[in-house]
Amino acid sequence: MTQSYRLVDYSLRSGKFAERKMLSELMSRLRPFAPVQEYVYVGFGSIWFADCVLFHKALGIREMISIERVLAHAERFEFNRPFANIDLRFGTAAEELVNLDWSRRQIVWLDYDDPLSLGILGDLRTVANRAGSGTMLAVTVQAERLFRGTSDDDDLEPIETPGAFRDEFGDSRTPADLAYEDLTGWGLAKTTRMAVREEIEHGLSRRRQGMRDGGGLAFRQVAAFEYKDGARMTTIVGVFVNADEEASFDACGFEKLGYYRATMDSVVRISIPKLTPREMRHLERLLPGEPTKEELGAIPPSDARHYGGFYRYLPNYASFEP
Amino acid sequence: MPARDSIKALPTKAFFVEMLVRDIPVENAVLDLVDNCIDGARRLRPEEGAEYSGLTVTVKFDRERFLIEDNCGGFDVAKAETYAFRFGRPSDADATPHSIGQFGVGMKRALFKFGRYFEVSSTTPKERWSMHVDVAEWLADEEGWTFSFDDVTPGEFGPDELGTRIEVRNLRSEVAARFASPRTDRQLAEMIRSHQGQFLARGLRVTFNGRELSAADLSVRSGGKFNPGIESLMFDEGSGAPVTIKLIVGVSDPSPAKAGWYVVCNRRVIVAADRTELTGWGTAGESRGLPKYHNDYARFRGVVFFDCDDAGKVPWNTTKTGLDDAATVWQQAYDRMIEHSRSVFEFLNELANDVAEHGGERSRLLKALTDDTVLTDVGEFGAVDQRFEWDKEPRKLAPKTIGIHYWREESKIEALKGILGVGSAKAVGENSFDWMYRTRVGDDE
Repeated sequence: MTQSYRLVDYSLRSGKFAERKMLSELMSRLRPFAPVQEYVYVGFGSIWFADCVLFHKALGIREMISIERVLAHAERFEFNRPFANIDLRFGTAAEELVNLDWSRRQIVWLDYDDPLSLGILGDLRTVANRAGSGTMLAVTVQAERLFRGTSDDDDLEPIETPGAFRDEFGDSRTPADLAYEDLTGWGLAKTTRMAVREEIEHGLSRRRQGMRDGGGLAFRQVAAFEYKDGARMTTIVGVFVNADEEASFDACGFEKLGYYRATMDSVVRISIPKLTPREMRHLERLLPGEPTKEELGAIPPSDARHYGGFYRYLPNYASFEP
Repeated sequence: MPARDSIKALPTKAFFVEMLVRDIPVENAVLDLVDNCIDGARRLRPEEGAEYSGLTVTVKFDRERFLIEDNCGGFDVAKAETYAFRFGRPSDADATPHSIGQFGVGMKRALFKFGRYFEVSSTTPKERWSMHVDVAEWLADEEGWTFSFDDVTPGEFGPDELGTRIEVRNLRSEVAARFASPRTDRQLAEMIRSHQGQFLARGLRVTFNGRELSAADLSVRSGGKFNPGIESLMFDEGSGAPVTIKLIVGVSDPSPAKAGWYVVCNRRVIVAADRTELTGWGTAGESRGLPKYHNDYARFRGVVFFDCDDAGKVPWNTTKTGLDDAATVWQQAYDRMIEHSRSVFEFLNELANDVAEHGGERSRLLKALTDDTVLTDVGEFGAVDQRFEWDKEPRKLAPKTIGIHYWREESKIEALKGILGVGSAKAVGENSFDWMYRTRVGDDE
């Protein structure tokens, strides 16, 4: 895992910022399973703990676990821990996920900085093997470029061809029609999401084989995001639902959210509209709703529509010019 | 006709007993008794490759007493009379095929070796008998070389009642001291395991001072901040015969012959030290699994136990000699095996890095592993789930380093050796790097 916390303040990355807000809104809808305050949140808080701060303040989640693999700076992580109720666990996801209390309802956000790897897929299988009904899983993976092997090596070999993808991830994970464009740009983001989904599904199907009553868990996807704060990132969010809790899932009403995406075919791309602060303020007075062309005035309608989709989740920028 | 010049050549009993027990170590005497139990098991199930599930040998000892008990069929009065308690074995005694016990001598020798009072009782399908011997009393009777039964009851006894029980009390002081020592305890556990491994592997259960000797000859390191990953799960829980699965994953001493996965079905080892695709090795890229085996992983040990009253539900093939890797119960366990293994590989990779960076002598991680832990038999771990843990402190303190490899003309390296006053190409590389770093970056130490 790269130490991206040394490079950038997480709270300033606007794509991530919006994603976090939307995730928070998705989480708040878990109530039919259990009050969200009673969930355990598990994340990779990094040194900023932006996720923990938001979910504690906005949702009132009390039990939070932050997995951190950078041991060398343990004291600094401890120093930056914003609340007493964050249980900092120093280790890799591979080590720590096995040890979570999976009998609890949890919200697990595997927010990797790295591109898809066998290690990440292994983590997903661990979650799919253990998660209980009502547990929400969000997986964020970098989708700029894939590399062979682990990222600990100093000379990384990029995966640029379908053949190299097959060599690394294996036949069973390689779509028959994988093309060059699926390994670059937003194509890679989609390939990554499919791999994530399939790994979860595969884990669940093996788990179902072991059950007597044929029912068992399904992974119900509720959102998919992609954005580019620097590197391209993509996220899948879903809920593990047992056959006997389908009604609870339906009662959550995820589909009422504008960014609800249940299938592999579509994704919400989070991007920040190129509007001036004055234009944004003008638009916000007209939102929510469908501003007419006249109301928009000089603001391009496509940018306005775009802003209408995201304005509730975007950070507020202000510039100071003394 | 008593001849005047005849000499009484019979040895005194006390002398005989002392000679009998003098040369046998306590440990071997215990092994002899265990051998007798196993011979019983073999008489009970004589067929080739027989399975011994359901047969148990219990050994217990401390400063006060020694006890060995089995349910392996017992032996009858005739056998007790003709050789178990007769000194020297009649040549016409019917032998247990491929017997491993020394019935003639082993039992008595062990009993006399241990103490001054013993009780033996046994139940066969047709009779039950018991005897006790107070050695001091027995020795006092100069002429009588026989033992007498306390009780012999003919009858019909069911399979659950069959077996033999031997208890020795009033232990000899040197024996009491040995039995009180944890060292004897460990050593004997190991000896029984290695001597009787094939029987353990075929389902015989040996309970030794309260713990069960595992069929897999397998220990992992535990102690300090290190402990193995352990998980127990149930399969087919709602049915009348659920399968219990227990897996233990950890590290041991490097041994390419012993590294890998062990699969034990109903106490029988059906896969040992496996490093093939069967247990996931080399399949990380394919479905889901472990990296390819190489010697950095020679410390890896994993064992998974399957137990079920219904022998048809554990994942062995029809001949009970190999793994049925298509069985659903195996696949359930397999996923958990892989999950726990991943943490072990994280550790083994870190260990390999630490040794590569600092050398085996100076690797603090290796030192912590060696100093803080002891080898512990996998049979000794309880059923409490825990994850694999290792001491991260040594790696945490050392900044991460990366190796640099490059090639330059030999004569140029020789020239620099002279200038730098060092003796190896490696030192030339390190010194020239340090020099470059000092001059261009500055000394940040």
